[in-house]
Amino acid sequence: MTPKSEKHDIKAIWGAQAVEPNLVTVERIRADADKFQSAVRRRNRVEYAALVFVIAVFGAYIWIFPTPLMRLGSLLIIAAAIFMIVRIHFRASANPIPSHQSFMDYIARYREELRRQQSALRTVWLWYLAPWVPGIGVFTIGINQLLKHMLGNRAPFWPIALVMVAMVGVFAGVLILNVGGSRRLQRKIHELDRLLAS
Amino acid sequence: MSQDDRYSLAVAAFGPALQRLVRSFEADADQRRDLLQEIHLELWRSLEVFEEKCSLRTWVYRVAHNVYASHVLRRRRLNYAGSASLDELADAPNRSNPEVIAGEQQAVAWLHQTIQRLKPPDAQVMCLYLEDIDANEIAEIVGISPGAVATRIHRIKTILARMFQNGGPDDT
Repeated sequence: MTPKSEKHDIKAIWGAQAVEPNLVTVERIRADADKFQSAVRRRNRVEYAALVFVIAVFGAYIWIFPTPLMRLGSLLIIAAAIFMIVRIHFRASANPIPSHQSFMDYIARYREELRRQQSALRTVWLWYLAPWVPGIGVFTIGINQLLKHMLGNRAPFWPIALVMVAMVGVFAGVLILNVGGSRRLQRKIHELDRLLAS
Repeated sequence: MSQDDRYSLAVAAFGPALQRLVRSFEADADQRRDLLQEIHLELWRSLEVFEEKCSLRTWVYRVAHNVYASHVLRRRRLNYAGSASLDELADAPNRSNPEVIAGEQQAVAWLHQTIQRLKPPDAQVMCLYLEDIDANEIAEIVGISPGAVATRIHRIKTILARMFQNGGPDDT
């Protein structure tokens, strides 16, 4: 048994814990930091590339398709894609929370950040889905118009209905995922509120 | 002094303390390794803007505690409902327990378990107290008043004294 005097020197016991030699080198840290930055850049590049592809395709449609509605729809879709590119740019340049502030300040900033993210998820219909609606709507009406022009009354409605159902399905899926994410963030915010109040 | 030099200096001086801190806060060995790696990465990153407005030690502990907080928040919810405050531990009745804290290893294990049971600010104060950091610096790291730190340290001393004088952990 440990003698009582030693037992009392609890800080000395604490400080005497065996520790492993530090194997983390500056080179490895730099490599990890680069890896993380590369992953972020890759994600942004994929999103930019997808949006540039949308712009290129609908830019071509402006020349290819004859009806004004399809051209207008293409223009509106291009505008939505440009809006998304601007949003990604601002997201990429957002400042991270400084980790060298006191714990309670850090938690307060972390809470603000969660609140901002939650607000973004809750309003995803407004900034992520709504910008596409006018373009897709006008473009779809334009397709309908073109089909009627080409086939007259024999023009089938089902291709239009299929596009609309697919779009509603995708939009509903995005909304459901984001509402779930927003609720998870809300629970974290409640936890932080309790922590900050203690 | 370059960022790399500052990082090397910080790790040489506080590397063992970071390991003790991670051991206290994270029970799972894999998570512990990830957490320590995250702390080192963030420490190196943060030292790019270190302007000596606070001591290097305060800076290192702040970064470590904040990385821990975001690590926990990212992976799971804070288990707040199941954790205890220092007041609850100090005020809990001391049930007689035949088990005695017989050696240093057992004492350290008990300390880690106790810190893991505590709510975050209390756990941090206890960990920093054991690292022999004074109340003013703990207040700077945690972001609560020195008075609140002093009260918590008083509670910690009560818990530790009871534990090591009576010879066994109560299982409240």
